[in-house]
Amino acid sequence: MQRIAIFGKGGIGKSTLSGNLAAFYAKHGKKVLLVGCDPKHDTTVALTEGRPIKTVVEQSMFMDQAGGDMSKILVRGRLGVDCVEAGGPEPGIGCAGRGISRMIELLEGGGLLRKELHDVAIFDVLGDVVCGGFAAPLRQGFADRVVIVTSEELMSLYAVNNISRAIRNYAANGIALAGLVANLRDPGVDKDAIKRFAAMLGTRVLTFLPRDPLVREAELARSTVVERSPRSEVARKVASLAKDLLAFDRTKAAVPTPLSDEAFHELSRKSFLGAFTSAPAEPAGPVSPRTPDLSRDAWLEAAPEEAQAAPLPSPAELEKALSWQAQLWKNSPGCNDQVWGSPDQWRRFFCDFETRRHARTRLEIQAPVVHVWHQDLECSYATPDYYDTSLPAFFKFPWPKPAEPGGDDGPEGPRQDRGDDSARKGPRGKRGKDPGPREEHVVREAMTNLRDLDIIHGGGRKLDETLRLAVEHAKGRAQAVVVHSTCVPTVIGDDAGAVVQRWQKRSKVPVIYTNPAENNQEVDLGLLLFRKLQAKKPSPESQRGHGVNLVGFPNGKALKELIELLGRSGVEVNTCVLPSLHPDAARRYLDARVQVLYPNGAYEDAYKEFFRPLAIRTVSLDAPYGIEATGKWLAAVAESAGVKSKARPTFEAARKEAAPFWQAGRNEAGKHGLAFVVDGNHIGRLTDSSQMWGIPVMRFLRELGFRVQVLCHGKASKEAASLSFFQTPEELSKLLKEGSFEAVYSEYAFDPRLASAGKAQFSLEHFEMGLMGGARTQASLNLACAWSFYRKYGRYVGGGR
Amino acid sequence: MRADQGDLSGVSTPMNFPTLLGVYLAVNAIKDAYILADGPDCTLYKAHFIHGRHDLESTLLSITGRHRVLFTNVCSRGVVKEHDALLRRHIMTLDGIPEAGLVLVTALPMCSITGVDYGRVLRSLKGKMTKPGVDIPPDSLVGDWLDGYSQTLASLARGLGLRRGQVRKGSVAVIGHLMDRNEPDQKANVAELRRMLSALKLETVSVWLDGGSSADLRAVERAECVISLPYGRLAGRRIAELTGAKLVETELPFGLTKTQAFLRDAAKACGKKAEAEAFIDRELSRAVPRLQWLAPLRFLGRKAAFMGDPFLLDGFLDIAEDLGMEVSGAISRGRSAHLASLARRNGCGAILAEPPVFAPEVERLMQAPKDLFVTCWCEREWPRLENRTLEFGFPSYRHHALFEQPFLGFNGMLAFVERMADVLSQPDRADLRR
Repeated sequence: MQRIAIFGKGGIGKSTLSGNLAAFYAKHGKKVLLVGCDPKHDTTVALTEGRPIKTVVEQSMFMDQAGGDMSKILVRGRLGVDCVEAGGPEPGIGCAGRGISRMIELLEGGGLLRKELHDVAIFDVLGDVVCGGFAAPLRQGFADRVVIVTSEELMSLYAVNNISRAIRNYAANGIALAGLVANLRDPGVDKDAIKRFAAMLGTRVLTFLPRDPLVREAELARSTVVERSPRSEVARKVASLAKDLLAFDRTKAAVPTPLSDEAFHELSRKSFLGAFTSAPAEPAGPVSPRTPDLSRDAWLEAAPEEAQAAPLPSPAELEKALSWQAQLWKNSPGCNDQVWGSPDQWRRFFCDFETRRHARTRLEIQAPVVHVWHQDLECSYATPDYYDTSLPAFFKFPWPKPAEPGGDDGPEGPRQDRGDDSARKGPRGKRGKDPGPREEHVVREAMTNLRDLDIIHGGGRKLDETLRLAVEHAKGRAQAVVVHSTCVPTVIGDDAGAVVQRWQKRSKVPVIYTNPAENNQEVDLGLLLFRKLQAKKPSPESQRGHGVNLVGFPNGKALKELIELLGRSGVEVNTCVLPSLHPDAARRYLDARVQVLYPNGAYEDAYKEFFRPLAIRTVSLDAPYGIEATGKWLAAVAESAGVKSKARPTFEAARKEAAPFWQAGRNEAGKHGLAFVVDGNHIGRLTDSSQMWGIPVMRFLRELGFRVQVLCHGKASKEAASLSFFQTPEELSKLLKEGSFEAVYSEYAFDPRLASAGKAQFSLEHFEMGLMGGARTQASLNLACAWSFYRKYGRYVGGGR
Repeated sequence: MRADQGDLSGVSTPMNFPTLLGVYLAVNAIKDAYILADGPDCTLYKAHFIHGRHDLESTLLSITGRHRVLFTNVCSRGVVKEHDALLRRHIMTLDGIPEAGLVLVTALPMCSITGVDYGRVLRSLKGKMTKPGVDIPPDSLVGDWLDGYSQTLASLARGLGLRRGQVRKGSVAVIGHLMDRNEPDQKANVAELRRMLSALKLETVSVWLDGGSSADLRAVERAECVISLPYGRLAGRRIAELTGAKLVETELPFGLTKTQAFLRDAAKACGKKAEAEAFIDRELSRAVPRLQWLAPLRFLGRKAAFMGDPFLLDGFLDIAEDLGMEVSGAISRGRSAHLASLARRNGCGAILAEPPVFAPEVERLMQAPKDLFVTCWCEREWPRLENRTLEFGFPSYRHHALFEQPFLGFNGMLAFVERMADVLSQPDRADLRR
């Protein structure tokens, strides 16, 4: 079967030529398939008596993954020509290219391009090649020869140059450019200029079609000129072209050599005489990838390089976004090198990138908010819920342990009104517990679930309808509707922002628009809402009592104990915020006398943007890990709240209560050693708590009674019993195996490097604040060290990847 | 709640899993397969739904950082530009990994809708790649996870360069085993398939997929007969066409009824009828007596519901019937098209195909009285059902197999009934028999 694709600028006569070629071949006994790849679906009208046929996009099988009865999409036209039209969306919306791609897939899947069915297949393709969808007929197994229709006009020739580029790119599929067909507007034009241009492209002009009123007459009669006026000059030229196309030997055709834009414009001004002064043609053929050096380091280093090419926001945008991810991007060329094949992966035991990437999703306001996700199903399963710590993950995230049975977890402090927290979410986010059958289901999440037809027709209508329901639902139930647009609607050009704007005007509930695919604003959404809900003016100083706000403290049992200690000291905790953000906490936030910030570098941007500027005194203290730090912290908080006198006796009483646990823990910890593996440049993280989620790990572990060994990557710079250096994987492996410690810090779950060395592992999740929290930290680390599993069986489990 | 009051239940997330998860399941089951997914880093984090969550023996991710899933990091802004060079570079990166035996390429919809021809990109590297390269149609916008798995198998059938004329008499290949994890339950399923076919004096030369390497897949060329299971229909047809093998499309051998059908279909195609009948008789003589006490004691008259893989649902309905259970309803975590082959619906209440997670029909089904809920992991929890729940199928985040216990074939039936009986035997279940 001969497969011909007719390309060219819009309105140049492609459909007319396609119809005439089809008619000619059919008249001469060929079985012909005519495929319209143009959303305006008029390729075949000349052969269907002017009746538009039902397009593929309109067929029910379009959405069926397995296709369907493909004979339904074929319409037998005059002369027995089988006609298909792709169809497409309303002008201005959706993605016509996707419609063509999908039709091509269906044609292939349905076997309609089998050689025994047709002798000739003609694809009439819309205009210039505007995206990969319109190039779909150039995929392997479809068109094998291309004709470009042009006139003498500049933009038409420009389109020819562009299409030639597509053909060059698809040359590996066995596609060849048969030549140009010049459909002249002006009979007196310099034909040689077009010939010269064709030669520059490495092709030729197949024929010059004259302007002939017979063509127009045939069109008006819904017929073809080869049928109505077979002896006319134009019909004879079509006949000759048709024969040439069948005889065309694509194996001998050269790959086109399109001009650069610069060369095209210069040479077109010279009627394609002479040569371009600097660069006559773009390099032919696909860019050869660098042949990888298969030595280990070489390929590892090769991987992330391209990430630098990924478009990133400008530095100014990054500053403006104030997101943690943006902060990370500042320091790295992209995330590939952070998460795939990094050359220093063998000595990486900290997952800073992942921790911060996923930490951002925690900052979500726990208010009755209706979320509308404008996305496809893939996007719903973008990332697992890493906050469900009952399920294993590849990383060890520093989130607090899950709530213990009996409600021991006090996430919001004593005055935190948790409100209706029954929001249940899909797999993308945290999942609330089902309230059970007694409560009404208050669904606060909706999704447009974009499918193929939505891509072609545009997802705006679906979003509009979903938003209508969401806004209606939000009345009296929710404090905001948040629309999250995503990558797919962004790529197809859905104007989701405009849809949202319409509903912002109609809805009494605020409708907020975010598009993480376009910017990073979603990161701060929870905080923006939190700020919005705050009282406009702070309470008078005299009415604030001794209340404090705790900001950024890890939720859990330890926080509850600290709050109790503060209470016994006469300090009332007004509210706790971050990562939880509750609207009631926002409303009464300014009722407190002081806000105490937890020293977590990951929160620093949020502090700077949303907390420090507030009209409330700010206290930044070392986090209360260990006895001494807890005492200092308690005293400082109490002092800032104006109740210093009670803090000391309260602390001493609590210390006495905890002392037996600490002593027992210390006795045991003295027998154990722990280790960290760090990069020489980042060794400071062990003493800088802001780099370790607020935990001063070295000081705290020493206070707990553990020996700590640091294995440092780099050249030995100073002698120290607790410091060892390594430079190679083998040296590290030896240190891990021979080191006199039982557990090593790693943020990778089930780290086989440690298991194979016979060592247990620990991570930030082991650390707890406060006096009893410290005792629990001792106990859990002692347990990790005493556990003999890896010492006994490590060599059997560490062999994995 | 009426629609004009803003009922969002109908537009909540559909209870289905996306195509790429199915593709990754297949990659996970070919131990030397590496895949490049065109898209942002979420294409990598998708692998976390499988590695360590569903499959504790997965090697999709690696502590070395050389995960078996690589992504281009193309974002919604970058995708409008041509990025063939980037794709080629990443493909060559995977090709250069010594452990890689096969390089696959696919994409997220945000990239594929721009019409990137991944097959062309691979072909442009012909002569440079040292491993087979296969593109998987990025069909996320029309398919689901089952289609993703099926398409991956079909793409392999197309891309591995299978040859005609290699067949060996008396050999078969099983195409379309859903090797959703490398844990011993699925390994035991493969062993059970082999054991049963061996009893028919048939040599199983290849099982697609079985957790082996890409080289093992090529052994399919030697199969005289291709036995196609529902997860691999497309691949089965393609392989038979390419290698000239006989093709038999049969059912998933889950439950006694379907296992017998599987054996009889295979035997008919391979001329082993007598062997099949003798084997079935032997196996039923072994299995049925073990069920005769438990069936009336634990199962008869009990109400069950099912949520999960539609192909497993088919067998589950037979099992329920055999044991005297009533299936009050089922949720298929797959498109309705996958239910088309459902042999029977009698004895089952409503069957919902990928309903929105908060749809009232889902709620009704969940609130209906039941003694046993056989379900895959679900994004929603129904606490009342917790101790009546048997986690089964993909994904299983809480149940993991530590020893070789199949659920396919005769042995699988016994093991599956044992698991169900354990749930029904819990103390607080003792007085719930109706």
